[in-house]
Amino acid sequence: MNKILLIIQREYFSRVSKKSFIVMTILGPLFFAALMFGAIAVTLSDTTEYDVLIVDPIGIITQMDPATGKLVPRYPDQFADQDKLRFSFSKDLQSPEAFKEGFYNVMVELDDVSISDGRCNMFFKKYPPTYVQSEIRSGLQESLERFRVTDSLKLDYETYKRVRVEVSFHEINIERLGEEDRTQEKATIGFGFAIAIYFFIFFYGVQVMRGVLEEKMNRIVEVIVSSVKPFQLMMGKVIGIGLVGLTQFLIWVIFSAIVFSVGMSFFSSEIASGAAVVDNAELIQAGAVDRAVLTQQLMENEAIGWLFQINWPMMIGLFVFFFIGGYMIYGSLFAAIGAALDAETDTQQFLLPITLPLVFAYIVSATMIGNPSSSIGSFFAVFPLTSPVTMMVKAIIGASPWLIILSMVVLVITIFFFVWLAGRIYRVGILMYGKKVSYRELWKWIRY
Amino acid sequence: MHTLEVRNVSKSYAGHQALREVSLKVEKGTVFGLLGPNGAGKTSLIRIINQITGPDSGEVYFDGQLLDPSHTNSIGYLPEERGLYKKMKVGEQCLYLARLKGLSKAEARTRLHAWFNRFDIMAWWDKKVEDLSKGMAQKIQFITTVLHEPRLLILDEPFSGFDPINAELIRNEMLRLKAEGTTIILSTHDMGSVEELCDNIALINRSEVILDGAVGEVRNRFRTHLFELEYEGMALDLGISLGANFELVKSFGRGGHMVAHIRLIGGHTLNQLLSALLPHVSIISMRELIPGMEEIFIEAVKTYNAANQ
Repeated sequence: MNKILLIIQREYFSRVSKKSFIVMTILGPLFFAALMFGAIAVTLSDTTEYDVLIVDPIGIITQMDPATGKLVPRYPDQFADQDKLRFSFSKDLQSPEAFKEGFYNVMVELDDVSISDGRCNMFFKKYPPTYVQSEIRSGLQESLERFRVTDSLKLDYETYKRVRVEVSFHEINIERLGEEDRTQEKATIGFGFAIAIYFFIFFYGVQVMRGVLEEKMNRIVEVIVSSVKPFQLMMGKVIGIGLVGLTQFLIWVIFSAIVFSVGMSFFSSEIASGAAVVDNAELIQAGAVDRAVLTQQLMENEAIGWLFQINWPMMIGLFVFFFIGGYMIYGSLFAAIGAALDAETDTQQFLLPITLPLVFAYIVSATMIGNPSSSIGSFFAVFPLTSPVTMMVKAIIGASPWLIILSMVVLVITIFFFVWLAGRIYRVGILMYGKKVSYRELWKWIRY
Repeated sequence: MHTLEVRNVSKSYAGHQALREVSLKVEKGTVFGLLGPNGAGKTSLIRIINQITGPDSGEVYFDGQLLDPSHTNSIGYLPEERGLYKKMKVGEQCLYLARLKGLSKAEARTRLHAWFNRFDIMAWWDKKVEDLSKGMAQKIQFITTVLHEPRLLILDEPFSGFDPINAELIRNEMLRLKAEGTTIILSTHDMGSVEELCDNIALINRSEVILDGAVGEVRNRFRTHLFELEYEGMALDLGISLGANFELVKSFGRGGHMVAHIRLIGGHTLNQLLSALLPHVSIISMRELIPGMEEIFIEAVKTYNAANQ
């Protein structure tokens, strides 16, 4: 037992003290945040200006302004010019050549059919972004609607608007009356956890594989196993590297907690000075609000209140448990692969079968965002090769405690099986050189 | 007193028999040569002694006790295929390996300093292993093998890759350890060092021990009553004197003298040969040609293989 501790120590400290670990632990989240802000910034900084020409030959939605003699929208408040989006109107369609050479980026043509089925032709030089399309579409939509209501039905548009009803759901889980359910948003958060576990298992699993392969290629392994049992060496390595992963996770949790509380206090001063857009008048009136009140207000805020419905300590606890569980299974399998091979280049054929369930778990988790309560999700949240990833989504959108406990029990039992299996392959593999290993060969090793 | 006793050990791997009923005894404080062609089963046996693998049947006794995991701390093993963690520093790595053999950190450090000073390599302590030459790395490996003062030392091709000076250094260390009572198993293809260092040998061929015993005794067993005579005189006279009782194997000149290799046949003795020679040639020297381990190795393996086709 003492010796396995020595191995864990070496594996742990030799990795934690590496520059790459420190850099990745600190810069990782910053890089990730930068990536996200970068993506937003890129979208915002799109400097292309759009000049849209609406061609309305029969004057459905446009009319001549007698003062200027120019064609203008028939209905007020439509097609207002924006910062990077300007509308012009014409009765004549430009020829393709003229459009290509011309000043407009987008040209939309209404004809007599548009009024009946709403279809218009949109010509463009470069495909316009979604926001440009939706601006054009909503302008056309309302204009055509108005035309049909006032000109065909001879109704007052305001009357028509009162007739129209738009249906939306206020989602309430019968188990949790009094709070609005945000299953889908929560599933997204759970998916974030799932991605993290997926990434951690992969990243640290591959480290185990490379570590084992390094010892084998270095030929130090025979020296070590004359002092400790091969199984101890394998477990020492798997556990040591797993602890590195947990350390990294822990640092990130603390990091996030700090960032979150700093963000909160920043947010609170913003609110206090009345700058933030919060639909809570009392808060602004209150002037200075203390933290508890603020938290209460935030929880009642519709946009982010649901974040407080998530049981964060449970999610972090589950993350740690399922990370350890999943990592133990995959980590030992990666160790067995490392032991079975001679060079890193031929890892591919064995990597695929253990990568598949993991990728599959990832896909199942992604589909669960769209259909959170599907029963297939429950199955994969219990199936031990996928549960570490899938359970993250399942638990956050509300799995019964029994499902979670069942999943944990199954996982623990499976760990023992795979660690045993990997140990069988490992102890033969590490001393085997220059042999092309097949699955049949691995099967023999297991039965030795 | 036997440090190691192997009794009827058999081991097979998926259809291939690596060891068949192998038995041998290694006496305390001796150097035991474990010989055999490649793939004969030496490494399998060594791994069983090191408890890296277990035997299918048979037992191994260490100092009279059935081998168990507590014995790993009393055995030092230098494998033929050996290496070190490349990214680790030399001192740190030696400490790690020593602690895996059960030494405390402080004890390991003290002993390492003594060894590093003796080998005059203290300057390497903070170097990374990847910066060492092959010979330097081998010295480190030797130190880590013997640092925990094992009662049994198993060295597999310890001299390979060493220059003559370093090989001499290791050879002297071996002799010193032997004098201190360490039992050494030496597995090597270098028959010169077997003759020089080993007290006893066992020759493993095709999974079986085909020859064993004390080196001198084994060599005697293979002697063919062949003598080398150095003389002055005519080769013709020599031929006459030998007659039909002795066989002249070879005759040649060396350094101004004549040399002949003569075999005793038909139960004749050396005295009879001498009295036959005396009247005809003047003898300068005469000695028996005892076969070297190299010849014995080849002879024993060939004979066995021919008989077991």
